Amino acid sequence: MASEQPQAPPAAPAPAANGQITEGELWLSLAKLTIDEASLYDRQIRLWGLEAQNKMRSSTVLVLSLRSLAHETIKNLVLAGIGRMIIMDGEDVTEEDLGGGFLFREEEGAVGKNRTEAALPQIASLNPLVNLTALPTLEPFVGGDKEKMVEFLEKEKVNVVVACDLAAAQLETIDAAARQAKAMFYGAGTYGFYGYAFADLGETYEYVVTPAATSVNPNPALVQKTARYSTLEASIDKTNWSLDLKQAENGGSPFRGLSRQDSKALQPQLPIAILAVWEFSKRNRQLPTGTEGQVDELAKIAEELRVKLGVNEKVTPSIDAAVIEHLAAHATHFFAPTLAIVGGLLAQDVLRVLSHKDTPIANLLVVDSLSGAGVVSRWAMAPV
Amino acid sequence: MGRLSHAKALLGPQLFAKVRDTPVLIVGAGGIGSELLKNLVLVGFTNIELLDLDTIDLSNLNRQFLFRKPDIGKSKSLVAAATAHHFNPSSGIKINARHGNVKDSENDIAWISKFGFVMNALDNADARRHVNKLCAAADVPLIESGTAGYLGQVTPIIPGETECYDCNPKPPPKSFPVCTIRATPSEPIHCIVWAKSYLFGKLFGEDDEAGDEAELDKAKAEGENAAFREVRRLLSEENGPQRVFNKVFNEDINRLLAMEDMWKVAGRIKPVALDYDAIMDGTFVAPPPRTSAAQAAAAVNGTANGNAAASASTSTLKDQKELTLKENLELFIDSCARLAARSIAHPDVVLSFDKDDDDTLDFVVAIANLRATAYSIATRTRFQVKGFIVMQALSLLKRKSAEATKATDVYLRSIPHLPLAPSAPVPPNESCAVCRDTYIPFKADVSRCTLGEVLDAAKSWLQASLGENELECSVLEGARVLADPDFDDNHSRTLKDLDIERGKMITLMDEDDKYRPIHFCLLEPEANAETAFSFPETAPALALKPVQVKERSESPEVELVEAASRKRSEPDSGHDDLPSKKRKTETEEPEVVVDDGDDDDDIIIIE
Repeated sequence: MASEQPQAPPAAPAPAANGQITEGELWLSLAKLTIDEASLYDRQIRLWGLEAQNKMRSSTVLVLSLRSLAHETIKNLVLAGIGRMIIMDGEDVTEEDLGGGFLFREEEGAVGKNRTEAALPQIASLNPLVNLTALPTLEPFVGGDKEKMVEFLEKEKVNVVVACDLAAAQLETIDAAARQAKAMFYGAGTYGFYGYAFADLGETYEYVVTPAATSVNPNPALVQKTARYSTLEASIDKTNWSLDLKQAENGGSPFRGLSRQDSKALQPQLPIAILAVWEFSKRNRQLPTGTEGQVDELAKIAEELRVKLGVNEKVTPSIDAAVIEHLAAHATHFFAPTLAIVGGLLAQDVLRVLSHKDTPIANLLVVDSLSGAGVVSRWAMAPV
Repeated sequence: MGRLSHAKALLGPQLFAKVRDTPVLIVGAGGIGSELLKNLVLVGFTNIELLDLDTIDLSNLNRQFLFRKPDIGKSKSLVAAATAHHFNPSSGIKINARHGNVKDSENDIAWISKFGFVMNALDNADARRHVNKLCAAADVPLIESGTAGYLGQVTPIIPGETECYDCNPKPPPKSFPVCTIRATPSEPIHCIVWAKSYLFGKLFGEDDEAGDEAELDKAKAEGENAAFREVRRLLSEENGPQRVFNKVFNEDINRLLAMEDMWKVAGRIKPVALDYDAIMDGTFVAPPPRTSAAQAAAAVNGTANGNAAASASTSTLKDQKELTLKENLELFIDSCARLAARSIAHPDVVLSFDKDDDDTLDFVVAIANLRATAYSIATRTRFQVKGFIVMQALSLLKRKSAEATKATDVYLRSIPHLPLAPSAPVPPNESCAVCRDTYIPFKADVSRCTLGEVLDAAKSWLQASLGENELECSVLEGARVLADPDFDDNHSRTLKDLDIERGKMITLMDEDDKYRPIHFCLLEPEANAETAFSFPETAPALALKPVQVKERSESPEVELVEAASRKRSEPDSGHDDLPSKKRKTETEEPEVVVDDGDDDDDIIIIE
């Protein structure tokens, strides 16, 4: 069932590593970059430092579903040189998939093959130093068996789960399992020209930031920070939305009580529109496909959310009809440039959290690729 | 349902048809260019031209994902086009990949007018400015983009509507006075610039004996060049590198030390001549490095910074290792011998510095460190030197919307809650010396017409636009003054004789300062053309200079001075490559400029 890529060097404590070498020794050997690697990664080491590169080099990332968004993210993570990647998908490549999935090659007969099998050779050629595992199934991450998911994540020592293009309800279960297995979680996808990435980095996530250099202090020391993340389920729980953003940590609305200026900058209508699509898909067990009545239904859900969240009436008196119409008609469509933008931001964030350096997404990023806007709102998280 | 069904549904039939029909140009096939090409191909653009002069290097592979290890050394544009074709092999996509320089004469305004729009994916300001000017001259929209570290930006430049790349004066490239570089360095960067831009060229670069610049200071330059020619000759002999060392680090430094006035300036520290034998047997005592303000601050902060910790001298990596004085000397001798061998083996190939060429990098590192030691300046590791010279280049996020219909600037920022920010584009700067000028396509057989004929014809052709006015002007090609109202010696020479050919511009500068410069852009003559040259059918409306608020002085003498000083300080002076006659007589200390064109980004990291 599993097709291991043979030529890649052992880069992470794969389950099979049970020979003479102890795990400690293995990690030690991993921690040292070879001169060849240093030369290949020269530009990025200059950007984020050797220590960060070593942390990446010893990490395992699990990517679920290779329908569309995953391609850009996989490409960027593999090029950057993470230690091990597991890709999972139970479906076969369709002709439509080729429009976004550039890791599928039409000439190599990708159409009709399992998605992971079709993408594997291209991923391997991007960076032979990365250890790859391809599983032609989404089991156990389909259905609701959380314990099986936890077992898988623990057994494979997954550091980060990246779930792409999956239904909101499914994301909630996978996130809960990731929490239990102490893995960090990203749920991401695109709906036409819009896209999102939700992050749950755990109860306590520690990281460092480099403050901006000033003339007084041209070389400032790193600052240690801690963030408390919330699960996806808790983040979109409406129970306490009547509380304002000061109570956001307890589930208060991230927009209630926000100044006019901040409301303008954060564009609440973008995350609200995404939440509306999630709610629509939970009610209907599918995404809107532009059929009659769906625009009205989606608009109604969005308006209810807007009112419940208590957004600034002057800035957002309603959710833009054009946004709703686009989402109702195009939620199932993907567009390569939008995938590149969202997948790029997503991969950049995964690399940040693998090295615990710089401020990551906290906790819902929404992108409108047509206008060039990307906003992050904090759901059930303490305000900054 | 085909592979383009999603794009078709999202764009609608009209816009999708435009995607299929519009020829587009990408200049640069590096980090941004690779991503851009992928996205255009996936969306369904069918007519793409890709131009890049570079070849593939190992350090490109971590982000320029269209390239693989076996491609190293091959043309970036050709390999990128071949790989990208796999992303959409069945939709009739044509990628015209060209390995060449956008500044070549064949890439003229007639060529760039073919495109619906142009996308810059370049790594240096010089090429960006060139494409910007071509697009302004040909009235073609340009999408400009750039990245620096984690940050990036995309700016649409629509002629007449939004500001162009040169509407805002850019900060000048980091430059240093020549005397600092040659005689009184005080920072590591001075030593690196000297090694890379001065000594390397003197020893291995083109013999600039015949160069025009020698005229400036002929006597001095001749003496010096003669000395270096002697050293160059020595390179091929047994102890060549050692003799170079003795000239550069012993004789020359002792000569400088003899100029006592030079060392009376406050804060200047005298260098110490280096002794080859003493360094080799370990008896040489190097002066203690001075501490600069920035270094002192860094010392207070300790090594808390991740980068500082990572580059500690304990590292086993070649690039990260700090060398002793003796190791630097040995590295110099070794790399100098390697380069000398190369230049002897291939005398026709001029060596040039390349950060990815180990021989040249070793040479520059060793020389810079030896010089730093002589001048009591802290030395640098190979890794840090790379950082000094080249620009940081990495972006995981080289991405572009294929949509050019809605003009917004987009910034990728480090603000955590607003990572992507659109902003309204700014209208053009009315004083911009690039996009507000008048450009005229001009087809000419340069061997068949003289400058005088062309100027007479041009003036009478322009008369329709000038009305009652008469145009008194000086005539330039680039920085060369070809003619002015009191100077017509060149009128009888052909354009070819004056080295004016396809891709260049003849510029008329109005002496009365009423009209903006008028550029005649030279194009290939039409086949079977009856006349030696031809203008477009109708003369254009000539752009006027913005009205100067400044009051003019009565005295012509003072006016001249004012005009000259205005040119230096205002954005209007964007014509800094078009010096007036007055400026030509100014003598300035020439400057050494750190070349920012040899890597993938625009910033020079100065630690």
